[in-house]
Amino acid sequence: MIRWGKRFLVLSLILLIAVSLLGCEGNLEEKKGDVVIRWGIYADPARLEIAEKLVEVFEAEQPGIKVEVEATPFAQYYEKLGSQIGAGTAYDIMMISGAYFSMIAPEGGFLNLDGLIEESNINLDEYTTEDANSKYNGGTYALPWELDIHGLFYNKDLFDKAGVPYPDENWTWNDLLKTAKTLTKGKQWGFYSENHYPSWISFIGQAGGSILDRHGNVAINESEAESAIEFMVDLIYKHKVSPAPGQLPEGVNPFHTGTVAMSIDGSYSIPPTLELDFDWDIAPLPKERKRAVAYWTQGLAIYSRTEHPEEAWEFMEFLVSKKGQELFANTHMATPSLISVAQSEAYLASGVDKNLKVFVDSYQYGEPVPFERFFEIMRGTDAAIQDPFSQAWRGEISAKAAVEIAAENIKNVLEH
Amino acid sequence: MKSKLSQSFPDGAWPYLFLLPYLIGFSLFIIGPLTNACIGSFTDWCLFRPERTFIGAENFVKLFQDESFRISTINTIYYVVALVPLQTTLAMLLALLVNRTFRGVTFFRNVYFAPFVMSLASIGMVWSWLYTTDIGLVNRVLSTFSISPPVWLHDPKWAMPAVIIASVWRNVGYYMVIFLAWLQNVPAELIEASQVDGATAWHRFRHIILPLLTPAIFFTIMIGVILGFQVFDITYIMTQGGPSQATTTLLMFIYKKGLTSGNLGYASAASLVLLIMMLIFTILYFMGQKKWVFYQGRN
Repeated sequence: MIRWGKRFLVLSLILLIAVSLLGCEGNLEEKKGDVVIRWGIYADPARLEIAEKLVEVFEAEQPGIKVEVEATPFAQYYEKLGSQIGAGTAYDIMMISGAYFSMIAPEGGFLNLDGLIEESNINLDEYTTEDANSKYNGGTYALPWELDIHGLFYNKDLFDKAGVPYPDENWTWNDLLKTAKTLTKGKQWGFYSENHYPSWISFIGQAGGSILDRHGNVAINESEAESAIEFMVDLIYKHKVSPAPGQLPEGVNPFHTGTVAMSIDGSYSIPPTLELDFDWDIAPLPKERKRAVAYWTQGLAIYSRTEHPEEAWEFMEFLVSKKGQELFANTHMATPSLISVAQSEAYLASGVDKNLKVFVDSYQYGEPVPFERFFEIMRGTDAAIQDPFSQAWRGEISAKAAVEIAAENIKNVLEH
Repeated sequence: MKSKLSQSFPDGAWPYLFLLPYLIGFSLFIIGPLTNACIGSFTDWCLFRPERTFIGAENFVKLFQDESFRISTINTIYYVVALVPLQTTLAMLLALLVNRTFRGVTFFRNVYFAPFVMSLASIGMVWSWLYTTDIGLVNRVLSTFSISPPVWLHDPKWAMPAVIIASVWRNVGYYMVIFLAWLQNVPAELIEASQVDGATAWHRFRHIILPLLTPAIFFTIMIGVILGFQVFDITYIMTQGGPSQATTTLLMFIYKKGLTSGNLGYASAASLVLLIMMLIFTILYFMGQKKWVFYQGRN
């Protein structure tokens, strides 16, 4: 009897090992004739929902093409994409954003869309395009799906309580400061001056400066950019209308908790902000020497080694078409990239009584975010700009010193 | 009575058969990727690049000129050198404290151990709130003692101590359990004999308990150092490596270079350096074991 037990054990062990070694590759079920394409997206709940809906509508219009949605949480999306590209198994059509477009396009990961765009009736002038997330070497490699642009979010309840008029399109930095002062009392601040690139880029642009000038030379230490950073930091330490880093709990949005009356936020934040229990609205960002609003897009690109480029293109055409954009606009999870749709009822009256028009109107003053070497320059505690700016935001160094160090750092990064 | 089958299958092969699943897993998931990374550290391997080409020791040369790498290494050593003695001593003290049999002692043992099983992400978040200026609990307590508190997580001098304190709080329970197990192995006759001989509590501790605890101390320091060098989660959650790289550890450097900026070859080179550092420490540490670790029953 023991002999049988041993044999059984050996056999089951071998079976176990064999099964665990085999069961890895995903299977794509293909009905005869159907082409299946894989679509990679970020896995936010709102996006998942709309993705399913878009796929449903598309498949009904295009029998013979099936779309499989593969959602990954944003934090792991690009890691996964990276290993897929390395293995040659990337999605046929995928979401892409500027920081990674600048890494993937030069390596030939995306399909050139120039010919396809010409043959279609897509007119890129009708879209909120972003060169950093679509153009490489003169060719177009991605199309914009959504526009992420910023506005001044303000807490109407706090404004009403203080009897202060709401922000409007004539506001300058001085108006922002004056109103913020009136709204700062006790445990409440008037404005949240955040050490975050959408804020810097907007204010620097409003002062008439930029991080890099049109020739790609460092311009962040010019007087215009310096004055913008000085203004942002003065709001904290000189005028005391904004909390300093560390004064508020990390990871908690102070606008959402009613701790600040005004804050800069984006068109991608509408769904979570709708859940708040106070009255709020959106106004255009103030102007100084000129108007400027930081923006970027989430784009769509086709894998250069896809086996189904035509079908992937059909789906992309659908996603950026009026119909696809209107469906997307109804969710107001971000601003649609087709300008006519962003200005239409589909977006503006999508069941939300907030001033969403601010977003699409601001596009004409849009300041694109420079995404080249993004993580070495803009984002990350040791990044060329973020590091000295954090010191300025902590009140350790002056704005002048901060922009000088930032300029040095950027030069170092670009030279290597 | 051996059957035909078991005659051709030697008895001595059974252990290896049972080890096989683990060995397969180990090769596939540890040795395989490790070898791949070691090879990759000599190439221009990038996250979005389909092929990689050999570039020799270029990554290593760049690494040793990299200011960020130097800072991360120093930060990691700082973390380990502060953390390990603190958590070892505290764990030993707590173990001595709970090595009694009064009612409710189990409750305290659980309470001290509990942080170890909590998710690092939630620990990081909660501690970062505790350290908030003005309204955080830590500063509220300090101000009742009229101590003017620093801005903790945003002060380059205090950010690392803040993270170390949170780490000690989290780890101490685990090592306390190790010490507790060894304490309960101290033969009761030795304790009784010393009491009969009139030894003080300190004498008892210094000459009986402490020598018998040296294996536990050895283990605690070794695991503490190895895990300490791999610290990532708690600094990632609490400070994201800031302020001004004050809490950027080696693993954060590797993660940033490898997965965020996509430079996997460079990150692999840094990982290899980390591995070699750990190997050297472990070898030297084990060699020194004979000098101070005392195992019962040995001469």
